[in-house]
Amino acid sequence: MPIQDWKPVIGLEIHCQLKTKTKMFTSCGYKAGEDPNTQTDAYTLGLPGTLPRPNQTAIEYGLRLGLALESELHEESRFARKHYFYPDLPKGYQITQSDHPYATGGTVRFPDPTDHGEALTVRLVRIHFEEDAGKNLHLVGDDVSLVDYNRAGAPLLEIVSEPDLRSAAEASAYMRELRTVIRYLDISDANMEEGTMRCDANVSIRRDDDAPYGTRCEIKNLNSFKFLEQAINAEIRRQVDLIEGGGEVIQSTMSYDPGRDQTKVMRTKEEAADYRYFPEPDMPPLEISEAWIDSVRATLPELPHARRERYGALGLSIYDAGVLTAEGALADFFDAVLAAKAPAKKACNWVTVELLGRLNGDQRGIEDSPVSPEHVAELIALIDGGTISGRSAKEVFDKVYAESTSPQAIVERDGYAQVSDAGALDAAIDEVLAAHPKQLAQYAGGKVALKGFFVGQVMKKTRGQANPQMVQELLAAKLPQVSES
Amino acid sequence: MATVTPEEIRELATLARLSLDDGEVEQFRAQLTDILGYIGTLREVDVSGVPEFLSERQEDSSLREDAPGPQFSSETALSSAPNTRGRLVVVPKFKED
Amino acid sequence: MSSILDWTALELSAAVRAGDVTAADATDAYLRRIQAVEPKINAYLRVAEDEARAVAESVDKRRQAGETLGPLAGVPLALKDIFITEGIETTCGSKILEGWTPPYDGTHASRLRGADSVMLGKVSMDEFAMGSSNENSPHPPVRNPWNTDFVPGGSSGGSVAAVAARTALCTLGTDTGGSIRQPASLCNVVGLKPTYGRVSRHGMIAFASSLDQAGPVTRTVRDAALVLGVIAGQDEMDATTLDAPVEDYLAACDEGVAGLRIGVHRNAMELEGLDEDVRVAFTRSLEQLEELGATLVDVELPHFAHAVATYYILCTAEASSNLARYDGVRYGARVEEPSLLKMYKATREAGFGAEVKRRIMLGTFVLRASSYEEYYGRAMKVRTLIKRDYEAAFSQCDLIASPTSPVPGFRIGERIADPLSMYLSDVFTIGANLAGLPGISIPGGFSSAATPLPIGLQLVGPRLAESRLFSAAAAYEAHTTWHSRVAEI
Repeated sequence: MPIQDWKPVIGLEIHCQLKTKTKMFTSCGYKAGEDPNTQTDAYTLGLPGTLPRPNQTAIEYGLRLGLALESELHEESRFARKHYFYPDLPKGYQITQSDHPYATGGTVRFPDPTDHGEALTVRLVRIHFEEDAGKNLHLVGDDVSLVDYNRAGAPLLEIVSEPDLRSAAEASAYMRELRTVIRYLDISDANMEEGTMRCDANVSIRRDDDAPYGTRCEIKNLNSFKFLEQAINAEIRRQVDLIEGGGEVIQSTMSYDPGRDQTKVMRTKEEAADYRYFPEPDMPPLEISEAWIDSVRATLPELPHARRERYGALGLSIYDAGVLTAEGALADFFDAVLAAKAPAKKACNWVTVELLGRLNGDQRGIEDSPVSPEHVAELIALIDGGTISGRSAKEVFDKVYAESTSPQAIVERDGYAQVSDAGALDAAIDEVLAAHPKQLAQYAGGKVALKGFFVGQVMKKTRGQANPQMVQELLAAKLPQVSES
Repeated sequence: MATVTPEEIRELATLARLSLDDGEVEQFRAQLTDILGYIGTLREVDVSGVPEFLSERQEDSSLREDAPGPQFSSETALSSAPNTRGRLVVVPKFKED
Repeated sequence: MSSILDWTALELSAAVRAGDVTAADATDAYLRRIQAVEPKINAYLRVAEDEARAVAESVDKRRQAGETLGPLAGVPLALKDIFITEGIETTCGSKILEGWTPPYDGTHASRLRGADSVMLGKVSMDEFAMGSSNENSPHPPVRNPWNTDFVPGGSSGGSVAAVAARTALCTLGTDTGGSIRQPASLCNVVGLKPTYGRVSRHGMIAFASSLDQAGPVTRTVRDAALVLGVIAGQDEMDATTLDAPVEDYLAACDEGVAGLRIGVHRNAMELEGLDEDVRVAFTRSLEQLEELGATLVDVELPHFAHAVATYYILCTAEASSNLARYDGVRYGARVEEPSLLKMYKATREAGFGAEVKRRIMLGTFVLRASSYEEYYGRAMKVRTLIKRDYEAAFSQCDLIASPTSPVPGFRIGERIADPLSMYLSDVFTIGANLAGLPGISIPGGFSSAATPLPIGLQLVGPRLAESRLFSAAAAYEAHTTWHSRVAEI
């Protein structure tokens, strides 16, 4: 059967590095991009005699995410050791949470990437804490490998989803939503390119939606949204080819080669490591009290899906709501425009089209916007009040953007105010009619389309400042009555 | 009683990153078989409903404030490493998996 | 004529504080003693002579300047090589750490220095504290000062031999399954294993993290109380240390044993392999405790027979994990090989001794996914039962008495080929480790051999009952003379 008739089933394991000052289990500081092996201490290097000491802020960040995703937070959870030998793993084991994670269940709601229709929901299996490994470097042509321990021990959350995703596009949309939520919560930079958000994807296929899951393969280390989608699609192709060719999928760990756009088997289940998990004896259980949870809950921001619903209720399209909420700062900006009494749809248009267009062109973030929310609201009020025309509004906005000055001030300074004084407009119309007797005669003869010509002449005479609606009305009263034939 | 095979001993040795010669394989095989026989006597104990002994609770879970403490200079960090190049630790070339 | 070497730590530190003797003189006396007898004992791996003299001088200077000195002022002591000492080689008795000089200080070394003691050096041990004879070591075997053909016990063999040979006034040892108490018994010294979490494990190289505790080895019960007062207490560097006040252990030594109920586990006395001299000595010790006003009560420890098996599953599992970090990459010895896997294997093969490898293998076996439930999971449950046994017993008594070791001692080489028989020498001590309880071994008699060997008396108390242990042990010590016998070397 054709590939599009196969039904993929996808689950993601996402690692997100928390932006705490110090590492997960030691007071050693950590920032990405520093010189190799300049951010270590005795614990980081796995020196004998050192012991793990859990970071309170890392735990609190974990609680923020668990609450935001409506996971069940466990009063008591435990750390465990996961063993494997690798040069970047200083102790020969990684401290993680296995049987008793701090959070289980939960959901992520995000817009359907295909039609921006109904929101999709992915259920979570669990969220748990662990420490990161260092980095192995393999330089081309070098006969050795090199190790940098700076990252070793950095705090991570692992977020494991149920296999609820049905396409590469959904997987990517889910991951974007999770990134948005994480950034809203201000617990991680969640940047795939910088490695503060990383993803492994479990992929299987089946013939129809009711069939049991097929054998899954796990693609490791997907470090961009693009590769995530490409790798999942490549893996789906591989599995379809395998089955259509009479073979079967063997549970394996895969890697993705973007150059060839192919996934390949790293090891099969039989070759899988035996991690020899056991409960970490060096730390007490992690206890999370109701009071702590309540205090964290009180600090949670409004989350993207709640905001999208609120914007939807204001009449915005799902697409626009999605654009506005993709970044917390942008939605905050928009809310500030609303707070300054601007109507939602107009505010959305000015923010998403005019402002974002200019910011994107200049590669600036909303945080650096020279236009304040109050400026946007003021501009909309100037248009709605008839003070400036829609056409001059864009020119005014350009100036607001360039000079970071209020629209009102620019309108006054540069004379953008419309002429709405009936007396002045009457005079201008009279002059125009007097100056164009030929066209007036033609108009009277039934060529009513010439009304636009007169309006244009009046606008020209008033250097574009006439209120076009008033010109229309006044002109209609002065022009001869013509019966349309 | 559990008997340990030489293959199992070799598997365990690789898992534990030990390289045993044939004499050691046989010696460990015999000794581990003995010891496993002995510790296998725990099967006699009724443990139904008994919880595992785990580390005790501590005040505030012994959580640490997120405040930076002392760190090593790269010189100190690398001072005991058997093989280094510049600020990096050197190991035999290997493929990432 | 009393020599400076005869003074207890309590006496010496008081004299140094009072200016009756200098720390430099005390240090010098011990350094000379080391020179004289160490070749026969092999207790030391490293004598830090220059550092010791420098510290002693600075202690003396501070006294002269009018500063108040700490509770261990001028006390020359030694640390088991399992303790991290900044700037002084620390090997844990293993080739794999040969030449490693730690860039940080452990809590023990720093608290002892803070109490103005003088560290003479690092003493020998079974490699990674795995053993009961001190023979699991790349170094010459430590000899029992009471009979140099005999082992000093282990794994803290160097710690006890140094105290018994008077080459250190006190030492620190570590006890995972009896590694302080069993050798203390074999060498006629006092050895205390505190409650799990009473003393920090930061800066103590891990063998089995859920069982390891550091504790003092001293000549007298009061000295043990003095040292514990210095090293005990919560440590922010160890998340498992207990948030409980450090009691006045010295004051507790004056409380006596009258009125205390001493539990005796009679079934344990039927143990196959319990030496007759040990049985006789223990019976006498019980009588002496009664003479002091204690009452004896029989207690049951229903899972006693399963303790050794439980212990060997748990300690080897944790050891296989704790020793995974010795891979030749960041520190320690390394055997260069062209491939990473070969480098790991060759490094660990060359660096670890036979007993360590055996335990890593066993620990790796019991933690494998396929055997976890049968071995590790089950042992963790039996451990709970053992802990409950003690809780039930302590509802009927205040302390539990037993011999420390089933035998007075054994010859060097006698048991090395039979690991299982060696493991069984922990039978009386491992219960306290499994249940996390404090235990003390004090001199309790001598064997009937031509060259008599010491026999220890063990007291185990409820959680955090160190003070009660000291009360009973000090009373027993005051009533007997075993502890005042000195080994002739």
